[in-house]
Amino acid sequence: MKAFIYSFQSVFRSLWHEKWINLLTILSVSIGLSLVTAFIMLTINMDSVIQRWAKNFGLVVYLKANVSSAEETSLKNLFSQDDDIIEIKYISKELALKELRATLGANELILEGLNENPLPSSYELTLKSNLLDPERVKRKASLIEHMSGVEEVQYGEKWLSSLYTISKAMKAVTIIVGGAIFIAIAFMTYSTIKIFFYRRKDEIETLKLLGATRIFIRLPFLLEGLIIGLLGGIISSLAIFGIYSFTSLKVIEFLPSVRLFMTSFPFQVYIIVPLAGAVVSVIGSLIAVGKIRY
Amino acid sequence: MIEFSNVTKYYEDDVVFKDVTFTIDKGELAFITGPSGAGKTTLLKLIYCDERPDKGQIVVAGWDIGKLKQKTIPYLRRNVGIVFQDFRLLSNRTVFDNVALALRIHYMNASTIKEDVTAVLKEVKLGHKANTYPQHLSGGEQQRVVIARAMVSKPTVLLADEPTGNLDIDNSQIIMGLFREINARGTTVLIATHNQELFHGTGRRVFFIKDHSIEKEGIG
Ligand SMILES: Nc1ncnc2c1ncn2[C@@H]1O[C@H](COP(=O)(O)OP(=O)(O)O)[C@@H](O)[C@H]1O
Ligand SMILES: [Mg+2]
Repeated sequence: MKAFIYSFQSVFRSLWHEKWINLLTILSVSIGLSLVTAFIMLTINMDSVIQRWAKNFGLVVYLKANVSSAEETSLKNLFSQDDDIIEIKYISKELALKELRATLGANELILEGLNENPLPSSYELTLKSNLLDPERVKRKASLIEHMSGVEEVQYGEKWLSSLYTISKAMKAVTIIVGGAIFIAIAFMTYSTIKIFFYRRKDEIETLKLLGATRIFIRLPFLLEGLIIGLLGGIISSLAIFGIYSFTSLKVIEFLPSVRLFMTSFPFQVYIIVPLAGAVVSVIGSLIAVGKIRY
Repeated sequence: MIEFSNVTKYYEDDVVFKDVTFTIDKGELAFITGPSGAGKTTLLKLIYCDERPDKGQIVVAGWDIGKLKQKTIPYLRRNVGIVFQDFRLLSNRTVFDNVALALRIHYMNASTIKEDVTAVLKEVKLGHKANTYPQHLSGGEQQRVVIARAMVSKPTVLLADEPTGNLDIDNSQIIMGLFREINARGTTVLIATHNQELFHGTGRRVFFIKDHSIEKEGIG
């Protein structure tokens, strides 16, 4: 505790004495953090849009023409017992035909010559959206295809796998870009603290000879890094809050579709960003100060 | 208090000490002498663990130097006050702050520090220079600041490296007087000097470094 009070005095002296280089570092850190946040929020929002699209995604299970009503019931029971299936919709032959007629509209006459309904009855199944891994859907589909009374299972295979790929690619890009920016933030604090450390090299040598412990020597630098990261994070939080408020108030007025991309904006972001800044900056400072040898 | 047993020290391939054995007793004030380059500074560095022996054993105030871990070195040094040959005063700190540093590293509270530093500055006759920066002091005054910093934490051992290096006789006498006082309070004092005048007639033990060993010990 005493160590902290002592170091704080030294830190405030340094923060004030080197205010320009500190301010520059704080601003760079806040820009970096804002970029990461923007990226992550974009990914989360895009992902939620994709998830919403995917909600409408389902399997269409076409039944055999000669399917018995017992078979239909047993299929329905199997589906409702399956936890992965959240919605079951039964489309009878008649309903299918009606829908077809509706779709065709004026061209309905094409169907005029039919004396028998050629359409099969079917089940439309909606799957849990977190199960939209194409491989899993494929497995589920072939499982259902082997059930008795089932003729064929169809689903938007291509569409699903491209959505899935986009979602995965976006996450990967975010992780890579976010990681790179975090490293950049750590490096910015690292170089600033390294400069301070070198400037005070003689003083540190003397302190070591007088009997200063490692923690006494290191703590001021780590605290300075912590404050840089924290302030950078707070500035970034304020900026994010400002931009978010501005866009949600103004832009949505003119561009309602923007709301689509701002579905979720948890308030925790305003706490996590400064914390992330602090942690990354302290890591940078730790590396800058390095090992202290007597 | 300070015990060397068969200590050998090399710098790269150059031998500085070969099989050196000597003891300085608790409460003693002793001198170590020899020509420039003989190894006086190195010997002091071995004591405060700035250099490590290549062979042999060194025990200081009960600490076996050879067995010290990196992180325990500071605790040894807190028992050893050092008057550096090159002073090592911080030019961006006042005299007061330079001396206070030796207590701040112990996380001592501000009021105790103020008391102790003020007292010790008065003792070295620099009470009126507390707020001056070291580079505005004369050589003799700077030397006294260094001594004040070394003694303020009341160490068990005080080491002084050429403490009268380029001072006139008057200033040298003042400084020797300070060492005698510190010693009279129970601190073991070891002074390294090439200047024979310093120990002539003191009646204290003198260790002569010659040919990489302590050749003889005599009375000054
Ligand atoms: N860090 C070092 N690296 C290599 N050689 C050194 C180092 N320090 C001192 N020496 C050499 O060791 C010898 C003893 O030096 P020193 O202890 O400074 O002697 P003194 O203080 O008696 O003048 C000298 O020859 C010097 O050049
Ligand atoms: Mg020397």
